[in-house]
Amino acid sequence: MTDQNDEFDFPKLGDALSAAYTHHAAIPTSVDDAMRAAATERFAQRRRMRLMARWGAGLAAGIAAAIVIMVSLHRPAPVAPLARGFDQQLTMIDALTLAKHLAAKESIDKSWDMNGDGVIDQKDVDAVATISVSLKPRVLGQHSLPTLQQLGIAHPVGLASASGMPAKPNTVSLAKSADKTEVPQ
Amino acid sequence: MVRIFYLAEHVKLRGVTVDPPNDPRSDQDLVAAANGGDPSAFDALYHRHKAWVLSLATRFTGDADQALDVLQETFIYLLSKFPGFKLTSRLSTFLYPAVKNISIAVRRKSAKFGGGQQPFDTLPAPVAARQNELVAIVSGLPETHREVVLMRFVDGLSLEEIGVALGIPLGTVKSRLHNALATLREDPRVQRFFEP
Repeated sequence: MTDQNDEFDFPKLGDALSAAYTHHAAIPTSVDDAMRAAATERFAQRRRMRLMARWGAGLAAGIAAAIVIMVSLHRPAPVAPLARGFDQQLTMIDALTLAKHLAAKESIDKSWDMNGDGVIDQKDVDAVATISVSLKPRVLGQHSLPTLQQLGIAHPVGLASASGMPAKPNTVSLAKSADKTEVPQ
Repeated sequence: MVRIFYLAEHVKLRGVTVDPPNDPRSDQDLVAAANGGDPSAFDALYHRHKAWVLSLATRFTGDADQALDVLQETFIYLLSKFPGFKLTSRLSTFLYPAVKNISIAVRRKSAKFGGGQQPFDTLPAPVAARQNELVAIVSGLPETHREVVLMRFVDGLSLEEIGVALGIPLGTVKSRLHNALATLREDPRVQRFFEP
């Protein structure tokens, strides 16, 4: 009780007012029972919710773990070592494939380390691309197309006509032949 | 604690209502225990404050049956605050505005069906003490003044608690109480109550 409360402290007045205004009505047991039942239900409901939340959290953690395991199990296999097609030639498709795997941050076979720096990166993609368009025989490999001479074709017969250019020896001038035609008198 | 559990089980099994013994824990401790999910703590709070709440509700409604409705509604409201209820002052200061507002609502609801004419925001005269001279004089005070007088001398709330319960500054509480007591002192019929 503070001093300012003492200032308004009149015991006789308080007793008289308390006697006049305080009601001592009996509370039926049914009211107490109803309150007790409401409290019990409320706290039991909370316990159930807490239990459900705990189970839910456990279930969510289990699902998350299962997803992580499934993802790790189904991770794409490393890129096949230098899939160079039937003729073992590097092509731009190989460069594109390598670039895609790099972008997806997937594990890549060490054989794609084209520049031998121990790291497979954009430089290796560039190297594959460069190799694929290079005209050097050593780069193209041994399975390049045979030359005409190797095939036994010495003269390019029919090449001109095939290309659409008129071949002179076989050309027939219709105008000249028309001039030489004699008209019967 | 063991005794409380025994009694709780006893009550549960026998199906009879027995008021639990006075819990030695403070209201703060009981609120903390109820926040932790202890129904016996709420039960102890209910039994500790139910008589005061019923008396207050009777003062506000002027009707014993309505007061019982207010009692239940008030503690259902308190129950809804758990878990997470923070008791920053006395529980009375939390319950007072709840009882007052619920009483007004109950009276309004009752008047809707019963055709009552009394305004809802004023306190009815006490049922059992309408012939009391002091009550007659106090009833003549302005509503705001009468309320702080009753909170101070009947409910035993401190000035700070009255301010918290009514949501008004401490200075306003002191001013209202001072003016109300000055008015009462002027009346020769109640001057004897101010004697030491």
